[in-house]
Amino acid sequence: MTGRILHKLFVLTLTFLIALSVWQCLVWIIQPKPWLLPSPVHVATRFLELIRAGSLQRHTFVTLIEVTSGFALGTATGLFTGYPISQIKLLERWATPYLIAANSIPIVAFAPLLMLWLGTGIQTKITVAALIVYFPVTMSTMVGFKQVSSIHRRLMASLHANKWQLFKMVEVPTAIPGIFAGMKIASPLAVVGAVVGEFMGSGEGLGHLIMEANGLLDTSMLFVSIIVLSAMGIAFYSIVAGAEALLIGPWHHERRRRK
Amino acid sequence: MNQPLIEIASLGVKLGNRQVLADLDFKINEREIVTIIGRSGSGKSTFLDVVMGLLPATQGTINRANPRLRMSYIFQRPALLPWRTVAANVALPLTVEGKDSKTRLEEAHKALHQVGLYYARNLFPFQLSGGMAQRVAIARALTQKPDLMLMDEPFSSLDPLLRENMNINLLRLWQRTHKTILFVTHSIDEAVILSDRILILEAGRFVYDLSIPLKRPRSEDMFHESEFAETVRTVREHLQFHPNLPQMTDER
Repeated sequence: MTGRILHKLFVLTLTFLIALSVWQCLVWIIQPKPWLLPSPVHVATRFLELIRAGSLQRHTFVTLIEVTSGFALGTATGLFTGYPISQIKLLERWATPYLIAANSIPIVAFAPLLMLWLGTGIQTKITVAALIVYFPVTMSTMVGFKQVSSIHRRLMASLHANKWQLFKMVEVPTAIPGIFAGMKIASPLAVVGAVVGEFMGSGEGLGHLIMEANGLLDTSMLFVSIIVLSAMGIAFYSIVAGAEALLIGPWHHERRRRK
Repeated sequence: MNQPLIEIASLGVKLGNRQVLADLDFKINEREIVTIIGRSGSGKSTFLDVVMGLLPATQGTINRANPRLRMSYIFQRPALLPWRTVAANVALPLTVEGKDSKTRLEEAHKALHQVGLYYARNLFPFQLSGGMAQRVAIARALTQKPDLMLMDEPFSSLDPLLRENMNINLLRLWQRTHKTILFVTHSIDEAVILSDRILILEAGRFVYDLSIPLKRPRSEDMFHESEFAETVRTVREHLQFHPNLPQMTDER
């Protein structure tokens, strides 16, 4: 297990270093103006400046709060609505078209509306992040709970298990792999949601930093923000994947390996 | 003389517009192994579901010797929960009953000893063969301390050799525990080697009730005895030549 993680880290670092080298070579060869394409060295210097000034930490922290809260809110809402939708056929038939319709509208189109209703505070960014997380989690929860096999239901009925025992001992463990699949899709999307919210109007956060860099033609700062956002997305995904590995246990890994 | 555990009179079950079972009379005594044999769709599994209480009867009466009669159900597939270890699967009925963890573990280990799978207690179902998984399902049923075990084609997915082996294992288990068993199968050999009586079910009705003359204890050697072959032939004749069954013809 540890070996596999180390291997993944090694591959990730290696590809990152290769990408940096290619980028640096391109800058040496083409010699573009720094505002068009800064070199990795420029970006690293700007990164250190922003750290020293404390602004990168401040903006990252704000975005982190928005992403975490949005992800938690979207996941919780998705779980609480996905389960009843999966169990009540009428509700499923009624809700699914609306869910799909809502998901096919770009989140950027919702953001101004939310801004109008909720203002420009952190709550709007959290809501945008939650909205973008909600759909994959709801759908995966619905699909996950539908995976419960009829033989397991019959088994629990033959044991005279009540509904709560069926839920706890069979339905939830069956649904968990599917739910985690949705959460893994949703985790980087939460970052997208928070940044879209910040684009619409915000005084802080990495989205704001990107807008500021864009206005000042500070391309190095733009790259710093993008890299930090990517790292945040990867970290979020890794945390969810780690929680999945801890919760689900060896049977699921074996099933996945066999597939 | 053993007492009847369950007596059923004029039982009928209708699913939608279809009369699945009609006018069934049935009795099973303590320590008896009764096998129901019949073609697909004849209503065998429905009958077990009704006896277990998973399906309501639309007519007739079911009298149990004891209103708290304990029954366990073994399905065609082992129905093990893949996220639970073998021991945790075996202990599932006790978890549902709310027994404490010490009792659960002790009873699960005892049942696993009975089916010869104690060594596999910490494995997961994906690490078991088909025969082992079905033995775990039997162990799970044993932890319920059932007065009556209902077995719905439990060995049908196994290869013939393993199936024969499982039949012998079940006979040995019966020899030790003398559990009453109501068994459903398509296999005449299996029905004959296991049972005291064979009921032939056709289109929702019992058409024959045949007593099996083979002595107990039974062993694998019996498969090769002439008495076994003779009994198998008798059962086959009853199955093939019942007037309700469509006969094979050469008509084209």
